[in-house]
Amino acid sequence: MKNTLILAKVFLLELIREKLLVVGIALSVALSLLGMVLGNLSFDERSRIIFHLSLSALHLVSLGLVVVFGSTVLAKEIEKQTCLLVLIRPVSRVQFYIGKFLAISGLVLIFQLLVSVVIGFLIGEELKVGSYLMIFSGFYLENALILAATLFVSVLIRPSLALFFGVGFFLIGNWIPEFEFFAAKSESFVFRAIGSTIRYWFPNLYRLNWRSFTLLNEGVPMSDYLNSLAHGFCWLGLLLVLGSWFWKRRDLV
Amino acid sequence: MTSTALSVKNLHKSFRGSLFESTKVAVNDVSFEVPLSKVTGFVGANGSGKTTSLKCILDFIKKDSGEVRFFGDQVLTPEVKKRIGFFPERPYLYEFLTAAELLKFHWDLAGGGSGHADAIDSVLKEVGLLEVRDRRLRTFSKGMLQRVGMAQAIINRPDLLILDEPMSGLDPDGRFLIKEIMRRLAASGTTLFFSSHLLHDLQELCDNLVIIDGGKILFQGPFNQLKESLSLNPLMNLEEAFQILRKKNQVQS
Repeated sequence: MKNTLILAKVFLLELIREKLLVVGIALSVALSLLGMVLGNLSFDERSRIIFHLSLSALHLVSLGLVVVFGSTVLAKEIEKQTCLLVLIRPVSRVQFYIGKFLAISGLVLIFQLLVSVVIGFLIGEELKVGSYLMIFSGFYLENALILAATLFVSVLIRPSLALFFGVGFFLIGNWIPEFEFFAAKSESFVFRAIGSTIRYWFPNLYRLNWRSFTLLNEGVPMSDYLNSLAHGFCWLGLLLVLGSWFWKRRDLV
Repeated sequence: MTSTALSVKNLHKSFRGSLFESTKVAVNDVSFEVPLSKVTGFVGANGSGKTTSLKCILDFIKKDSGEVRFFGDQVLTPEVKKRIGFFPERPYLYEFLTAAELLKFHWDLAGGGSGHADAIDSVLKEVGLLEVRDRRLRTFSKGMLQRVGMAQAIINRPDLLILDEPMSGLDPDGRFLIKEIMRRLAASGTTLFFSSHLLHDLQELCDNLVIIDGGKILFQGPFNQLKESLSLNPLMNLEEAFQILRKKNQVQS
């Protein structure tokens, strides 16, 4: 565990020094400020507009960070052979893999916290902290899932393909409820079969998105929240185990 | 008390080609031993299987078959890794770190504990880089990076130091420095096992040779024994002896 944390710390430092985080923060702040300008044009929806645009920025920039870093970090280590000098130390490949996962997750956490501060600053007392923490944790877990999936496939395929996979994973994961709904109404047996089984093949990322509850001024039911977290963590565990299993067996050439 | 630092038995590794290419055997039934507290050179032309063998030995590449043992009869466990140092052919390092940060990272991973500041300064002094300890590695020249690579390899004061082409691409000063460090380590009882195609350096530094060609071991033992086995002039250098041995092997096969 100690070595995993040492690795995660150095990998995180690398990601921070790459400056993509700064670009992400600048983009998110710009969108939040745009939300503020647009919100001031509205009569009584100011907070909602700022909140919605800022959360969209947080959601999409986090996705960008996880798919870009998730698809490239391992390939870069192999290409530059930097991983060899680490793996000759008393470090297992699984620790190395988890170290990478923790570093990128840590970067996303820093990013989401900074954007949250901006959101809090712009919205002020109207922000419901309890609901916001639920939304925050949902987005964070969703990104962790996309990261774990992207890291896993990046062990098997090229970084560019892994990047597309990450984006596709996000889209499919968020479309599952609609897909199931339309598939159930279809006359095609194949489409119906896919629709009724897709939930077993992909994590339902939409279950982790509670943004609309706040927009409707409703609290998130605790049982739904806990069920969704359990759903997310089970998928996360599975993806991490699969990814580290393949990484362990890969030739580093 | 064991007398071998490394023992390799019947090591075999082949790489699958693409769709219409046949499988390429990179290492074919390689067996050799590296005696404790001696300097052993791993000699071979480019593409002879040196680096693949080293990567299989250190588990960076999964071997097809064969046995690798360290310090008698131990496999590559974290405890064994604590006693090993590795210096790759092109020591690509985490260039976003400073020299001191990189060495601290390796010190921590190796389980060095407290006293890192003295260890880092001492090893940087040894490779002549104490003045630039706080400079980022991305500003270093190739020779300086090679020396930092050497510093990370010896930071944990290993019992067995494995080096892959340590002098390749270095200017005369750099080569002299690396050779001096290797001599010092050998004098202090560290086992050195290094691959090279710079035969003059090998002849100068090694007590023992392991000669590989086309993925097969052609000879192992002291240089004098090679000359005796081939009935060569005692004044003949390693370069000439190596050519004669290869030609003899090609005729035989």
